[in-house]
Amino acid sequence: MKIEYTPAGIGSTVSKPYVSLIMCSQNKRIYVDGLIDSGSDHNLFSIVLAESCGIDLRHAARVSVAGFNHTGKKNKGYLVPVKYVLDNYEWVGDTVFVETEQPHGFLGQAGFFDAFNILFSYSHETIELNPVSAQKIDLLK
Amino acid sequence: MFYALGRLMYQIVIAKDGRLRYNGSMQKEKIIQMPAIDEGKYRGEWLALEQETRKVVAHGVILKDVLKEAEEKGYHDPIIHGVPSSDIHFITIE
Repeated sequence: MKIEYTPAGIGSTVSKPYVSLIMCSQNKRIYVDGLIDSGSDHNLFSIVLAESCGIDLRHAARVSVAGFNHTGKKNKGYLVPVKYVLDNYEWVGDTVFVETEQPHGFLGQAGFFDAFNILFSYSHETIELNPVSAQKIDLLK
Repeated sequence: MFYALGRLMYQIVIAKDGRLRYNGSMQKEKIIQMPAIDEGKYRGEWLALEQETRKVVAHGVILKDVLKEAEEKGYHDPIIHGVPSSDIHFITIE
């Protein structure tokens, strides 16, 4: 599957590799954009998205998150496995929900790069995703 | 010989036994388009995007309020797009 880069940015005209995917909990699914970010250890989203999706963080592993804001301060985070759907593929990816209301959505090494082989083409402004651990959904089921 | 049927592409081949067979496993290349978003207008905000066009249908700093506004406008499952308040995560030139 190929996805075009998104012409988007703050004070920038450089297109970026955003991907729209579905984040799932037991009872709900929401559509979110994530920026493919090879520098992120894990998928990382703001905690308000977990609340919005109904993802239970009570049994999540507590982690500290650094490097995503400019204060240098670490934020508390919650590491949980989350089910995602993209086009006709699904996978479970380790995801950190960080305690901030600020908008953040990154698709990192654990949680996205382990699910797909990813080929970036800046010149064509496309991302090519080939599944590794992501499973094809049988649409006929 | 190739035939496109919906999202699938079929290849018709003549097998060794002379019968016509098709290979339905070949998938037509699909490119998902991602229209532009003027993030500069929405620093630090959550955006609700219409699914097909990715048009901004609601925006604001509180996600719940953004989703409520989108719902009131008839968009029940918008795409949630977060715009960072600064470009510190990205190296950009203003």
